[in-house]
Amino acid sequence: MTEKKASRRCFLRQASLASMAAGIAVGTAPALKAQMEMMPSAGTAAASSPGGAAPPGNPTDRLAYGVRSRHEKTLRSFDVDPLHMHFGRMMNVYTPLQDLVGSITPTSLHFVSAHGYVPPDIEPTSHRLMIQGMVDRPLVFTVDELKQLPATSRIMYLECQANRPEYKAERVDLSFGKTACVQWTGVLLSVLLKEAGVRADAKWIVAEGSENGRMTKSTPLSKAMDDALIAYGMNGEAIRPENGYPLRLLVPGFEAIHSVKWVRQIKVTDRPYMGFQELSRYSPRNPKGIEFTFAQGAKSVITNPSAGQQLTRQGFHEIRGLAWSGGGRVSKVEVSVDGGKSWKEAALQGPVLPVAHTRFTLPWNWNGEEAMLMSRCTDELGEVQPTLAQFAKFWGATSAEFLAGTASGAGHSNSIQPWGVRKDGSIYNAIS
Amino acid sequence: MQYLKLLVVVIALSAVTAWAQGPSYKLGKTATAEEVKTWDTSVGPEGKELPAGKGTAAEGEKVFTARGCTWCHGPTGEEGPAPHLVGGGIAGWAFATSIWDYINRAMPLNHEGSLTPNEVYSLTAYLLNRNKIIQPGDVLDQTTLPKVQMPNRGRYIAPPVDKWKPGTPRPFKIEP
Repeated sequence: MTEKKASRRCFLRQASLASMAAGIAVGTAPALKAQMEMMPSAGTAAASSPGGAAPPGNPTDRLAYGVRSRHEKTLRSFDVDPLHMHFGRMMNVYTPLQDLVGSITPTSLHFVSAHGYVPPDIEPTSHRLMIQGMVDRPLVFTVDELKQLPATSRIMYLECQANRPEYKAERVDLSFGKTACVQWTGVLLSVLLKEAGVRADAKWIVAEGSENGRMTKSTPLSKAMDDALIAYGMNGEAIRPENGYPLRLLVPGFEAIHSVKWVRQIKVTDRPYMGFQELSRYSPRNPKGIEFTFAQGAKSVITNPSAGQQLTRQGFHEIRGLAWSGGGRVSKVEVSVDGGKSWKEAALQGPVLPVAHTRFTLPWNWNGEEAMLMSRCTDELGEVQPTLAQFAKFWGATSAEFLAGTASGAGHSNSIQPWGVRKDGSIYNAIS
Repeated sequence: MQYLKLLVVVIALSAVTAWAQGPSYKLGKTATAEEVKTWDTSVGPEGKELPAGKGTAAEGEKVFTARGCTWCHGPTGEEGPAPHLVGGGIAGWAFATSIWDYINRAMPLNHEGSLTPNEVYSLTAYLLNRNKIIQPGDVLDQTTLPKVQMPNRGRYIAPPVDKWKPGTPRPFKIEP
């Protein structure tokens, strides 16, 4: 109980973009000045450039591995949890959903959740993946060998099981930012399992990471054989260290804890192994008992406009958001501007891929009056995104308990998010 | 002499062939039983992988101080700042083997994997006794640990894994 309380006592540090921007400008100005004095040509370039001075630093370095425009300031935000700070750990890093366009998350803005473990600094030529347990031939693969096997790429979302860390957050990334969608590339786990020869009585796999605590997570073998991936690529290049470099297991549509980072072992077993995380935090307690949940339900959220943003004029606005489901493709997203009294079907930006973020849009003319914006996703299996009251009832709790953070032990939260619009155009979190 | 050289080459080649047993792609190296044992420390609910060793709550209390558990969990494990170890938390876990496995793989922080099997058995016994799940004199080892009856064992529902098929609606479907 205390353990849960402690981990929920998260103080969210609002990354103050404005102050950071100011900090960067102040910090770089003297460097730029010095550089311009040393390089007469830079002064010429600046004079002829309509945008002003060239950015600081060596242009060759900037182009060898690209950097975004220095005028773009979007950053991931962090949890600052006193307990984990005490031990020098970092808990959650959120994707800034409110700043994203399209449906692919930039690699550098992918959320990070690793239960506080610092990403290990793994030298790829010394890393190994072992497949063992209930197999005919235990096998050890180098990263290079895995890259030589048939490659598969898949655009898919990942989402932390706890992705509604703060129901009342006044910014969408702080309540929905533990999800992201990138293209992963690797070899299907089924290829490796077939090479090892899985025994007929096997039913589960247990994946293990390489961080200090070597977290384990059990996944049904049927899922592992269906579409799980041992990935080495992320948006066309090597996976970032914080996202699992050099190898990560990807389990499409399942809570992201299944997608074990820095994976070093797949053990084939006849039962789940009940490791610390899966047993204590990832076995939701419903009224019947303690039970694993796997695939995540239909979910969506309006990212623009969302809490903390401001409508500056009446008239046309495009309502935009993201929808996804662990059950497959998004089949429909409905949007309401009157708090759920009436709904309109939003347009989906194609291609609509299974188990992937899907961008939806709906044109809206704001008349300057109060409004209540909501989105509701239906997936191809027919599952409809519930309200918070419906979600709470399923887990044997009340909405108030969820909002207060005392309804611990529930599964992945996919309830509808309402954003309120005030007459002055400001947007607030209207969850209740 | 020529034959001897050829023989060496043939032996070397056959050794390589024997090493690569992947039936389709011939990539990856077959792991020996010894390599698997060194690589894998995971312990399942049956406790099949538990190593030899034993411990009691009294021994565990000494280890708890000697190995610095107190620095993070407090003098008796109830003071913090790290998660409190008595009442709730691990007492709610459905399997005692999970406590052994977690201490063994993930404790102490930044010195993971440094505890001996006896120390892990002792610490597990200490925590289970503090949570009133086993008696002070109980000895935990390969045989007794998996048999410890955790209070929440009956509430744990085995996942319906045989029913899980790609594309089927999830059992947790919430009907609006």
